[in-house]
Amino acid sequence: MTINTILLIEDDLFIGEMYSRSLSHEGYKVNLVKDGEQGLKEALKGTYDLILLDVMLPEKKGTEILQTLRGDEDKVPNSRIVVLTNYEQDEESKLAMQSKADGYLIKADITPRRLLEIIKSFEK
Amino acid sequence: MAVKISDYYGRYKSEVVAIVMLVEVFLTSVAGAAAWVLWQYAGLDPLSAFTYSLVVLMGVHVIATPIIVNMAARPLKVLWQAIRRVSNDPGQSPTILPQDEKNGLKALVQTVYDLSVAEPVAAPANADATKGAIYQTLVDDMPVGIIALNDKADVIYTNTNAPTHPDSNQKAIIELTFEKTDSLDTWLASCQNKLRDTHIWRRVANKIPGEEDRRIFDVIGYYRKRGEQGVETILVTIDKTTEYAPQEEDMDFIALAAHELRGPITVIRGYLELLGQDLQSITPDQQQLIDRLQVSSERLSGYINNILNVSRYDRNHLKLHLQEERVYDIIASLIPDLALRAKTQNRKLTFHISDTLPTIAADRSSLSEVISNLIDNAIKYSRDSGEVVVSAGVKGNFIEMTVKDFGIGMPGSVVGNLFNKFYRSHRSRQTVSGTGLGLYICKAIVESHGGSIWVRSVEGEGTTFGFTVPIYSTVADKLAAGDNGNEKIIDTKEGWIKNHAMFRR
Repeated sequence: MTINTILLIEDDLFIGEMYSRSLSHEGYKVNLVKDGEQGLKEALKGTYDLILLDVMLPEKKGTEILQTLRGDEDKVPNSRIVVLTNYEQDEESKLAMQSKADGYLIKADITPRRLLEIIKSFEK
Repeated sequence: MAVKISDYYGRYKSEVVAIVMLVEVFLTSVAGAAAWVLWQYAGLDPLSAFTYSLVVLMGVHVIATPIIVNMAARPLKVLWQAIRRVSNDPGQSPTILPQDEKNGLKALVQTVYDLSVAEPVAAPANADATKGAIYQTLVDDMPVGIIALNDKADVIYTNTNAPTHPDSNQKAIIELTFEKTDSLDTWLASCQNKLRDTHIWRRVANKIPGEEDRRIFDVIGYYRKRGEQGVETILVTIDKTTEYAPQEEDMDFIALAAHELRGPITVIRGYLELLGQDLQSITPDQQQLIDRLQVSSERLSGYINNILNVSRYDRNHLKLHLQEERVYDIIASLIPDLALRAKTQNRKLTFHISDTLPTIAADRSSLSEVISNLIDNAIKYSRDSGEVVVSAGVKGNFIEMTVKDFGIGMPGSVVGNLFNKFYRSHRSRQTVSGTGLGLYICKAIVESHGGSIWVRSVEGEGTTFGFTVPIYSTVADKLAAGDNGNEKIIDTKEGWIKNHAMFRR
């Protein structure tokens, strides 16, 4: 699967721009959205190859967005969804797995370069 | 038929005298015969023949004497071991009950064991009921907790301060959260071949952190086989909550703070990486500054992870997802960061890891932390331009990894405490920064893998830390039977991702 377009839903300006900058630099088309409601709307368009989803978001939590996108039916079958968090908990990780997310990553442990490597692993 | 104890000594003495005499007669006859042969057939004169045979006889005696003494002294050795065992002498050897029934030694040793647990002299018959009641009140109201267990490890008595609660059948249940590798059960199992034993646990809580009414105890266990009144084990619990709780509360606060630090450290590490990529032409001095910033941010990130893992471990929330891994791959993924750390501190880091080692059953993220912690310590405590050597090899059903430095080393008094929570030696408090949590969490992680961790140190020469993790093939069946429904999930150092080679849509 080729990844060209990425939706990054992240309210922290510094972190959002950090990933966005690194991914854009690598040639990906990145759309950075800073609140949950807006992010869900954008994700439902179904035009993104990859959705990077923060958990703690204003308006709507990342886990709720995930439930809407992948809960009963897969509303974005053409997108991969990776949850990004810094408050990892077992329940959250389990929920992400049950909701058929494609990944669950701890922000403090991934540098932009590592995130790129992981995204490239999706493309193999 | 077995020999009576009263007859043992006389009989044994006769046996030894007979054997020694037989050996002496035999050897002397052989020497005499040899002298005669040398005189008659080898053409030697009688004096030379006698001298030769005397020399041979002396040689044979030199060999035969220790063998005879060893044989004669064996009962003494067996009795000596038995007496050391029943008197709980440190460094005692395991209980030995000789099997040779006919000469009576087994009965003798059994008597030593039996006497050691014999009933004491009975209390005077006139000890009145009032005295008994006083004892009862004293024990019930003691400021320490007392729990008595029978030979089936069931609780048969608890006093007022014992940390226990009744279950639905009103049976007392001990409320102590021992560590898995040093639990009451493991100690009681180790007592099976002993007559008496004592064990001390420190910092044993009745509840996990965060639960109400949490108390922290030091616990002393006394074991006595076939004890009086059916009491085989006594646990004495000393409530040390006031001493230990402040550190625990500090830990709670630190864990909370560490969580909050994750955001900024994510940004610092990320932007440093971007900066390093963006800066096209910088001087070696500037590169050194960037390197130092990077190493410091990695170290801070390591501290934060240690704190959060300790907090999880103490709350029984540290979950490991064991799967098949190659030591070589784990090390390879850590090398860039570790090499930079070594370089900035002017240390030489050498790896002797073969890529043909058997695979291990490991949680990659946690094991990476163990390796990073040990190498980080070795870098901290070695000398300027010193070497740190990391090796791995097969040891039975395990892969053993060692991290060796040639630094200042540690005295024995420090080594024994190294893996305790918050422990920092007097010297390291004064000279090197740290939290006292790194080795504690390393031990917790390694033991949760089913391995063990050890340290060997010589002052002035250096220190070697080693740990083992099971070879995958030795535990594969167990893992397959467990929760390994996640074989299509790749656990990474940073979380998990689905293995898309298997998950193509």
